[in-house]
Amino acid sequence: MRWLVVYFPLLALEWQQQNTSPRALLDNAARRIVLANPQAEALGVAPGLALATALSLAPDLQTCSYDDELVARASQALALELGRWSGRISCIDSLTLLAEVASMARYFQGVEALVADMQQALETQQLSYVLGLADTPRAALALARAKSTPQFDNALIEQQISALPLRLLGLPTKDLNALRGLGIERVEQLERLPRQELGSRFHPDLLKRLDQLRGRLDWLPPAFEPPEAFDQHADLQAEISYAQGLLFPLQRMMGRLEGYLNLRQQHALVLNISLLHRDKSESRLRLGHAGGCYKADEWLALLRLKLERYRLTQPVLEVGLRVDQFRAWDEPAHDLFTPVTHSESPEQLLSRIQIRLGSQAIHPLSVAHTHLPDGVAELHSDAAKDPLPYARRPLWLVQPPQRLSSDRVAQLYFSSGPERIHTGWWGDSQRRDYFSAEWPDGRAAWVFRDREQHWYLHGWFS
Amino acid sequence: MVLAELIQQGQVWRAHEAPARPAQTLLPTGFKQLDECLSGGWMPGQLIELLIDQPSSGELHLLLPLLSSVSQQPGLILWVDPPMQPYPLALAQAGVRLRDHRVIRTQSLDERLWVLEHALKSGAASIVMGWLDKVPAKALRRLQLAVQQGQGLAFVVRNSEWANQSSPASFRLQLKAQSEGVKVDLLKRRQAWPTEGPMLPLNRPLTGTLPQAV
Repeated sequence: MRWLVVYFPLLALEWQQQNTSPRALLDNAARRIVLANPQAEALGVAPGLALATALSLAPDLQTCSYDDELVARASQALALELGRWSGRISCIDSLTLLAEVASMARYFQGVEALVADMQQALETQQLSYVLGLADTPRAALALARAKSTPQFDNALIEQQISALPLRLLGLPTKDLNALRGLGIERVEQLERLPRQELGSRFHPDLLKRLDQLRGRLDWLPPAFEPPEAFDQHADLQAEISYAQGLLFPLQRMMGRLEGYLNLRQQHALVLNISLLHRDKSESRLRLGHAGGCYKADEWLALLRLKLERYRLTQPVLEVGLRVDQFRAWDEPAHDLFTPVTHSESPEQLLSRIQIRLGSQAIHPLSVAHTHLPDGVAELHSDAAKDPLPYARRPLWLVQPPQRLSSDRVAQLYFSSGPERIHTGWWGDSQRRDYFSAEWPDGRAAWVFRDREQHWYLHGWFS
Repeated sequence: MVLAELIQQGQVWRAHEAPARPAQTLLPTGFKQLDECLSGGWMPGQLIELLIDQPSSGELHLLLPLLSSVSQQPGLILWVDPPMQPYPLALAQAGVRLRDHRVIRTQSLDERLWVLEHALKSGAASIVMGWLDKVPAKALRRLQLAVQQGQGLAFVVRNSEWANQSSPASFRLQLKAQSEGVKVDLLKRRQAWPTEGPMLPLNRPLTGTLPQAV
């Protein structure tokens, strides 16, 4: 059970469409039906039918022609998405993807759970798909083509392979016809025949395919290489006019993003979301995570917070998600013996607060090397280790300093001072004499007298 | 009044909820007499309410030794809507490392409670200090539950006019600035009766000289 093949037979029809009405794909000359979805087939529309006949059977049949580019994009998006469950993906063709699942099985606690998780995600995409699960890529592919239901027991898989029709192995037509003439249509029948005879009477491909099927010969399509930057677009089926409505299309893209990041072993730092409006104008949304993150759920939680405060100026026709800032994974080494209580990292917490309140809401505390405390918020350096060459400073600053009436000053009980601070001779010259003083209610205040003998309250000591 | 209501307000002490010995380590307050009153120090995972008549009645002075010891380890220290600007230089003088401190300014009570709840729940912050005024008891109850989940240290500073209102906080300390120091009364503490607490000395030289005009 190492290899899983996911086959999307109706991808060209179903990608980015609502799959509730009858739809059919036409051939290049637009005369005959090539593919029909289940809704159309229920009305009698079948591949091979002429367009006119199909339209008389199903008057509201929607037709489309094959779009290479669309299918290629869809196939890439799905390959990225599969990255959530596998570290090695191959595109066998544009409708068929191969994923290695054994190495991730431990993480998901069994192949069965992994496949169930994948199926759950695929269901939400409203795509028809068939799974094939086997020990060799060739067998998994043949099982998917046979539209069999995946089995998780080795003996059952063995039975399924034995019962496979030979035409699904991709043999030359001449050989297939010859075998059919002999009454041999299934793998088990073929395997009962002597190998040497088969090798001399048929094309060498026959034995090769048989060996690939059983794992005696290796066959592995090249691995899918994720692109350098993640860039995905979705045309929306209907205009979205409220911000929360963007969640659904973006949720799908986040799934692909997680697969992409998983394949590349990276965290995304910034998500750039672009919204295309009807008049071709574009709005941009930026979503940042201080420490980087690859989990779709976490990004979605951030997105939800962002969209709560976001107002759409115009309806949206197309959504794009671009990510080009990454950080490589480096798992923090956890101590084996101390229980981990942190459910969230400080970066995650700060990211959440920043997204809810805006970036101007969070201020670091830092020491400014200016003599007057007014410029405190501007400069900084972590000077806490150095002995600080200042007299005792108050813990709280009153910004800006409050003018004190002379009655108030008369009530103060001065405890220490003066400390003269004279600064700013290069510009706005300031000269202040600072005192600690006891307020009538017992609190300790930091007050100063300026050049004009006015008194000000500038801080509190506790 | 129904029992459920009393429990909701935190007025009933239930033996089965209290471990015989506190499972987590207590953090010394830095004041010997206060440590004795708190049976060892500040308790993580519990909401601690500081009641003051007006800002700067000694609340920061009380927390300074804790801030200075906790800030030596990594871990966020959040100040949520303090009434004035904390003076970094003075904190640094007291031996507080400033690297992990963040001051958070919110625009409304809703936002403030949201930040407090999430910061407490996340467990990512070693100390969360919040300044609150009139809040529904339900909001405090949520904060108490959040801090139990995150197991950090949580301080909520409120005006002492709310001292008579019931509160789900596990500890309630009333602070009064006096010329000899800060008077701390324990209005509520876990597994013990309220008590009149110690007088914490303020290390300020009292010389009593009146300044002359320069």
